[in-house]
Amino acid sequence: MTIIVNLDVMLAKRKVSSKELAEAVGITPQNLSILKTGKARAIRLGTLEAICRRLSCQPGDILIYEPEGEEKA
Amino acid sequence: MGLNRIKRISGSLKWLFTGMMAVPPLAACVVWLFLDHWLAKDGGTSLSLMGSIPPNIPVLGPITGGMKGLGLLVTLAPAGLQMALFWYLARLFGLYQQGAIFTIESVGCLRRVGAFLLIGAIVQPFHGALVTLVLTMNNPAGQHMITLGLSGDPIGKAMTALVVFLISWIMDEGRKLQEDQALTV
Repeated sequence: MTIIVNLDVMLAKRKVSSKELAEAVGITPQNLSILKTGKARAIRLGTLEAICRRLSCQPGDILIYEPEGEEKA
Repeated sequence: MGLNRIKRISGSLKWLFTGMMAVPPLAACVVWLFLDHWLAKDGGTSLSLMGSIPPNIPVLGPITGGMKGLGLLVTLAPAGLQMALFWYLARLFGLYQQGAIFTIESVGCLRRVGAFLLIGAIVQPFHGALVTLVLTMNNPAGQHMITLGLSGDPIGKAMTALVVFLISWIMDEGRKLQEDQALTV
């Protein structure tokens, strides 16, 4: 997957627990775990909006595009 | 509610197909062990109507134990295919009973059902030819027979197999959609 989910980093920056975020967004902790571990196939705009609202961030802070095979700096 | 009904009916079908697994080998044994009785009764008409032997085969020689054993052996091959077909149908409905409808396992079972139907359709004419050969093996010289016929039955089976294959592809697409939905947050 070339889309990296940086949710863990944002959660740590904002000092918000996964459980708290799941409750605020209205999804199950299991679904949040799917998102955090990068197993998710798709994310609803409503979910993304709710995450950004709670963490006071932009979608680009959570989702990062990394082309396949590109070396990390 | 719909899923509960599917689970309930599938449970019954699972046991039905599990039970039906015993039918093909038993039927083969009954046909070949009591072959002389069947032939004396109506000349084999009832057997050919059941599809056990090809129609109008002149059995002129003695019906020996060797002939019965050979016939049973020849018939056990398609009977084994039918057993495998019933086994996969029982497994498929067992999975449906557990609610596993759009899964890799159920799609695999459906594909195998299609495969066994297709193999059965291919084997059937050759089985008929071998049965003819066995039935006429004790006939006087010059009256042995081997017939290879293509009736509507194997063609129908092959068509059913193709439909089952198509349904399995559709189910696989459904499985992918369900997986996508489950992984959408």
